[in-house]
Amino acid sequence: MQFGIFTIADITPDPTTGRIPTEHERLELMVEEAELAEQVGLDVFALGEHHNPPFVTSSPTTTLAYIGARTKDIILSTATTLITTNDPVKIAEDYAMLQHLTGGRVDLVMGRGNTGPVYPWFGKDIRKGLEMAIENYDLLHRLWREDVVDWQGEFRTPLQQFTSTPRPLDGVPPFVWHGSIRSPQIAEQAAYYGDGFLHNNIFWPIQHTRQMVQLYRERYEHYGHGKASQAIVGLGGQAFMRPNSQDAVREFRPYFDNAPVYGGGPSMEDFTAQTPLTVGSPEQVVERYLTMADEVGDYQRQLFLMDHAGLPRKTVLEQIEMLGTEVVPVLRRELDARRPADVPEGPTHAALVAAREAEKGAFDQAYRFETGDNWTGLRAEDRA
Amino acid sequence: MTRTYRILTLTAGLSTPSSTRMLADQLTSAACAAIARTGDEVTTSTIELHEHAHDLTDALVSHFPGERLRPVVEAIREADAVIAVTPIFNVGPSALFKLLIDALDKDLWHGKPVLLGATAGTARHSLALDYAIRPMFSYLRAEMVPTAVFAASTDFGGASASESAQDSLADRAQRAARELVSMLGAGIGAGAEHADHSGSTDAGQDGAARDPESGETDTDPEGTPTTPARDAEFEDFVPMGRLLGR
Repeated sequence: MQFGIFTIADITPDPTTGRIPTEHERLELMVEEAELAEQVGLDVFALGEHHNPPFVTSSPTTTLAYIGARTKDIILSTATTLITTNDPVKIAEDYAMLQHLTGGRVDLVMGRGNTGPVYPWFGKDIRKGLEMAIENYDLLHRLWREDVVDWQGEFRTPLQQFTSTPRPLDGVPPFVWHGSIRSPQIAEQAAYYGDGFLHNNIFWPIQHTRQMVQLYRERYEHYGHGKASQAIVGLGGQAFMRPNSQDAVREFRPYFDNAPVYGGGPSMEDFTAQTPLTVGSPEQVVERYLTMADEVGDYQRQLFLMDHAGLPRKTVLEQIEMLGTEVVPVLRRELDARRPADVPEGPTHAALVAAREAEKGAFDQAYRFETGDNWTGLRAEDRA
Repeated sequence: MTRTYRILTLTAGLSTPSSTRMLADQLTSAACAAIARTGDEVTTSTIELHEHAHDLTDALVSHFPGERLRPVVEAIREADAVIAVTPIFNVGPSALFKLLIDALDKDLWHGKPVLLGATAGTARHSLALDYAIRPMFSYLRAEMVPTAVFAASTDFGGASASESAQDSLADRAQRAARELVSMLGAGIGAGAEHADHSGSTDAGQDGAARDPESGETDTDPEGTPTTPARDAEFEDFVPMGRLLGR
């Protein structure tokens, strides 16, 4: 089982001091979080993609490459990559590049984005959001698996004899998850391709999450990728911890009450009862997150949001450290112990390479593309 | 064969007792009497929305109904007909009433027989029912009882006998109840939850699933998930074959 953190790198005033971090501070904290996550034994760092204030994560591959150069083991992921407004050709190139440079430590979570206005900024129509997610991903899936692609669709110019470079590392594309909270079509999409499904349930009751995951699992089996119990599931999570649970409640309450996402809504008590948000001691967080597998089945990845609502840098780093040293070791031990042998572990490049080799034999690394006149951009028939 | 209809009454009055609740009770008993005359049976329940004012606000803000609100959602979903009554405030329904509509899944109302009632201080507010509230339920594709019942203070006791006698509140309540019962008798609202979800049930015809690895066609005739008991928002499920246009 893989554990990690994800961030959307929001700039939110600290409600207890009124202090607003600068963009530069926020970016530095993001890198610091990833480095600390690796040091305390977490498996995954995932970064959001937003193109509007108050967020600072417009360029995920730049950030992840920088983090990749400063870390050794941690998997770099996204939360989410906009499969709607990004050109699938550019996603194929950028993330294959990142995959090579980080030695295969890359996977992606596809999402449609939650800001309506982002669509026209990139020349897209939000009314076609779902259709774009379907078509764009189908192209991306091919670009990583077929060396030469002829393609025609509704949302970008056709491709003739196109090769996306670099080719995926070891001939194995980065693992893809599809993230959706409410759209059954996205669970269906994940199941169809045999990809992972990540339900970022941080604002949702488990009854809802259970239904989405169940749908995905059923359809995963339907499409012949394995048993429903073997489908690849990830969940979101949210916690605030102090050794003494009452201290956690007292310290976190002003952040909860003023957070852009839930301030003014349900009370912290109602919200913690109904969503995965857990405010208390590390033991309480362990106890809560041990129950998730009872609801959604044995799953492969648990991500936590730890740096939101204007929490200051020092607190965020303390939270990540507690997560890595006090919560995750217990969860890992318990959840790995309960997982049946035929249910896969969290996806890694090494495991994907091994699976591919078992199925198709060793990958031929030799460069196999015709160059010749392509160096000049002109072919014989064009010069004639 | 007699059957038992479940009538749910939702009332958005604020005081106890409220004239809105009085109208709600009157419409409920008129409906019960009309059903009894057909030989069928009826069970009723009434929900005071003001008891869920905070829960409704939370649901609007957090996008999901909390634990205290979930029984209300289930009651609406399971009802064969809903009697919905609100005070008129500022030429429209009470915000509490509108909150119920805005905070919950709009598919809840699709195909559901709804009898509307409203109260206000004077008859000058009566058209708010037909101009502000009925269009909302039309949008939600509810099955509307033609007569909506408006009650002003005079209806609960006019200054003179003649003022309340002509086309009295009781007469209007009974007419609305008769209309509701004939709708129920005609099967309107029966199976409302499944009324227009053919989008998912006919999917197998052109939505045969294709295995991406083998290219084989999966011949599951439905092409749709089989586990029952999912929330309404899952009903727009479309199989991948159709999403891809293959």
